[in-house]
Amino acid sequence: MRKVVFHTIPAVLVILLVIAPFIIALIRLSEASEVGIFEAFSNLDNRYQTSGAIGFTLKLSAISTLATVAFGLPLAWWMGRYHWPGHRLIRALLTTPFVVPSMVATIGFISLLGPQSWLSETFNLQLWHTMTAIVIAHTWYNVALVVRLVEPAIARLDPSLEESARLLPQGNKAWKRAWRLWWPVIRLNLAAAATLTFVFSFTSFALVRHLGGPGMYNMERAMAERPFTGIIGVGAVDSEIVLAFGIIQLVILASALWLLTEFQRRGKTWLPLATEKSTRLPLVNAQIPKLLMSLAILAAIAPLYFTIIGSFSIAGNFSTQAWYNAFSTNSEFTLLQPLLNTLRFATLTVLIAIPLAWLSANSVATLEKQEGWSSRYARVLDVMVMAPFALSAVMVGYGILIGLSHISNSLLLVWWLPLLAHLIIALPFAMRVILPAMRSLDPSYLEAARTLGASPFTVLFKVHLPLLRGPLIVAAILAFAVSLGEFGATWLLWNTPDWTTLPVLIDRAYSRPYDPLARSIAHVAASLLLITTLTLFITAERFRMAGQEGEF
Amino acid sequence: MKIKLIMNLLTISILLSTPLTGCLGPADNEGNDSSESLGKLRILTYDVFAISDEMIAEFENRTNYDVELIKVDDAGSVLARALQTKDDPIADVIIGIDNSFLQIALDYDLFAPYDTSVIPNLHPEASSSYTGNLVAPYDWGRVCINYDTTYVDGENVTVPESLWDFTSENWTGKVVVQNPRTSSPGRSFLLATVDYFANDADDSTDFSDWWSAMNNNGVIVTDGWTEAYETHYSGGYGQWYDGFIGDANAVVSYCHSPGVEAYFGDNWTTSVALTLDRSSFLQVEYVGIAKGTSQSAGAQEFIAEMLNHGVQSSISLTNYMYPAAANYTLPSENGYLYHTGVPNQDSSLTPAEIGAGIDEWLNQWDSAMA
Repeated sequence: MRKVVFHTIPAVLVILLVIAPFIIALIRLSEASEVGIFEAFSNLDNRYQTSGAIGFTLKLSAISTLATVAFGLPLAWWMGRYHWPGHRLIRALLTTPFVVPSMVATIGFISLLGPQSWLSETFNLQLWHTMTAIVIAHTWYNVALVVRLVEPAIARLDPSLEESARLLPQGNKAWKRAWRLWWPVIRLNLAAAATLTFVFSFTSFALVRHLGGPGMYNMERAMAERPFTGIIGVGAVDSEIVLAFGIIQLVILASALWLLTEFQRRGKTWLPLATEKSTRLPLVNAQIPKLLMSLAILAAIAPLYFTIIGSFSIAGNFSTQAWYNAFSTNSEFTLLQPLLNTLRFATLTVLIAIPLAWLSANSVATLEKQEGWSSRYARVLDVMVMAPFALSAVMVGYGILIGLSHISNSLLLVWWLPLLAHLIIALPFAMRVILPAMRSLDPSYLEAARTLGASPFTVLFKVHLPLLRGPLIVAAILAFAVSLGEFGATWLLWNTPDWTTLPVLIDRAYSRPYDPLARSIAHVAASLLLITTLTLFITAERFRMAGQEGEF
Repeated sequence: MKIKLIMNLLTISILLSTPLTGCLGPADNEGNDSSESLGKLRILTYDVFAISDEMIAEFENRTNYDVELIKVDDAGSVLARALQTKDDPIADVIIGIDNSFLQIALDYDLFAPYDTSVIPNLHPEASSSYTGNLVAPYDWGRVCINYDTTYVDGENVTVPESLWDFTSENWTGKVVVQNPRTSSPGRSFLLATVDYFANDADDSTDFSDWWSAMNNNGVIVTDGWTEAYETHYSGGYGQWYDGFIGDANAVVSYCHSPGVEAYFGDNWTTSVALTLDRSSFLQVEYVGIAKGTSQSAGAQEFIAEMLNHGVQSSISLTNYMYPAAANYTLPSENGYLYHTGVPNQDSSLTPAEIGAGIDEWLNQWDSAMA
């Protein structure tokens, strides 16, 4: 009986935290929108901001995905094929963009492509406020995914397989080997990377808002900038739009999520693996890969470089004034409070999300091995914890804003409102790291411990924690980083200056283009976020379990 | 040893997370020690620059209330938050709802009456839209199109004599306006166009035809005034700074914006207000007591504060609007007053007409711009 209660806790918490606010919000939205859902869909085409938003969102995500695969695949191939000096460092540089908060990327790309930027001055390229700019930023972001997911598959294939293929008529030419040998090897990993890229481009908000400029609306942005959503009467049109887009997002994201789990399930390698080192070729006569790889590394760090450089300049002149202002208590744009807020939200996110993900993963991993109802329950729990993946950040924000205010108004001003959003968004990330590790635990350890009469606490501290230390730390860092960079939901929920986090501050500072100091302060805030994220990322790399390189 | 490391990390993180509960509300309450605090006074507002830190500190010291600002993005969001929480208000004072939004606020019964005896004599413009005892005007201004005279040189491009002129090739992609669903100047200007085209000589077209022609002519629509004026408008002060685009030569702003330009530009500006009859909207911004508050005495004091000498004498330089109190006006230094445009006739829609028509007009605007 105690066991039943124990396994029910995560489900109850997840329902209260994630599912309930969202469902209340949906009900509220359909109450507030004065037309039926089908009319809501057809009205979309007849309004400013929403007409064409679905088409634009799909086009933007599709082109971003294609570009990401086109650039990422050669890089992953060269990374997997050749032995590069400083291999780990190169991989870290290429995959860094993925963990950079979206507001930092926004700042980086505005200073790279924006008006009077180095690129636009040198090559007379006017990319700001074009779709191309957003595609470039999305590609920059997601190439990391392709490298991370595809490189290991290439690097770990047993070389003897390739040797044998060379001798066979089906594999005696390079293109034949590419088609018959390499394509099957990388196919599923590449598909998983492409799906994730699609999902992230699909729900992009900060980049579209700032790089796209006026008139460029994807669904996420058209939903976010709707102040009257959920209010009966005045909010009819806003609610109608958010409801319609929310449902479309839910369907598309849930399908993508299903595809992703399919790819990952079928992607469990059945081919003989070798250790990475034995398979990589020495880097001789590879002039083109060397050149292109150097360019790719430059491209990966350029926006970050310009982010930091921008913090030391005011209206084009070198100055440390912005850093000074950021850390003095009496300037308008002091970063001390926002920095502390950001760190506190992130710390609390870790402190709550990790135990919750642990409990959920434990229940899922234990119960899915059993028969009947238990395993079904485990599957439902897994899906519920992962559900926020199928919601965009803005939709999570609306779930909290509308769902909770429906319960009590005073909840709108509680300081943990943004924390709730961070928690919901970070939870599936933590779960995806902890659950596979939990599943791979050898059950004999636990049996042995129990046979020896160890209490559940002893098992936790002497068996689980030591064995899962690596994944736990990675999950904690991931949750911390997600909270650190979260923008869409926090922006939507922002109610008082006391809640300002660094990404929200960057957004506000950057919307004051006339104030050169505000702009530099935005760069300082972005640099702080960047430095924190990179430190975390480097730490996380050290704790990855062997064989986990292929996951995020 | 590793357990120890984890425990240390845990301790640090707990320390980091605990003080958050105390960080709502202003940190500095010094100067209040002598007398009992009268409690929290919560103020819902957007970036109204007249409410400065100094003004709040002075108010707190004098009245012994602890002011807590709930600051949202724009005037629309002020109304949205107030409506969302109207049965159990999250604020005691609501600041920033203008006459384009007022009727909705009144229909939804957001305000409690205040004692109008604290109100000084007002400019007729400030009391033009509303004279009841539910909200008090604290500033006003006229929303109209501003254009850049370096572009409107009188030869290739002449000063527009009708709003239709902006649909010509000369102005393709060179006019920037704000989205009336998110911005209050944008909303004000939409209302001006409704009235303008209802009263022009041509009965076969209305405002939505003009907006659709503007849409075909590449009008730039931004979410808020700041982006429109400071990033896009070539006559705005953004042009001296890094990152400025200046792709638009006409913008929806205030008739006194050229005055503000001149004031900060040593009596020099290239920006002029277009004061065609009925093409401007007289916007008035209000402060009121939230209905259902338990701090109505404090809220009353805050309204008085918004209309007293300190705020009213400086509002033209803090919030860049006309003061509501009749004793004060725009300063004449540096050409502020001189460069301010004054139309012969503003558009004339009453709050009641606006309240009855706005939903439909917004929908028509939406489809014209789709």
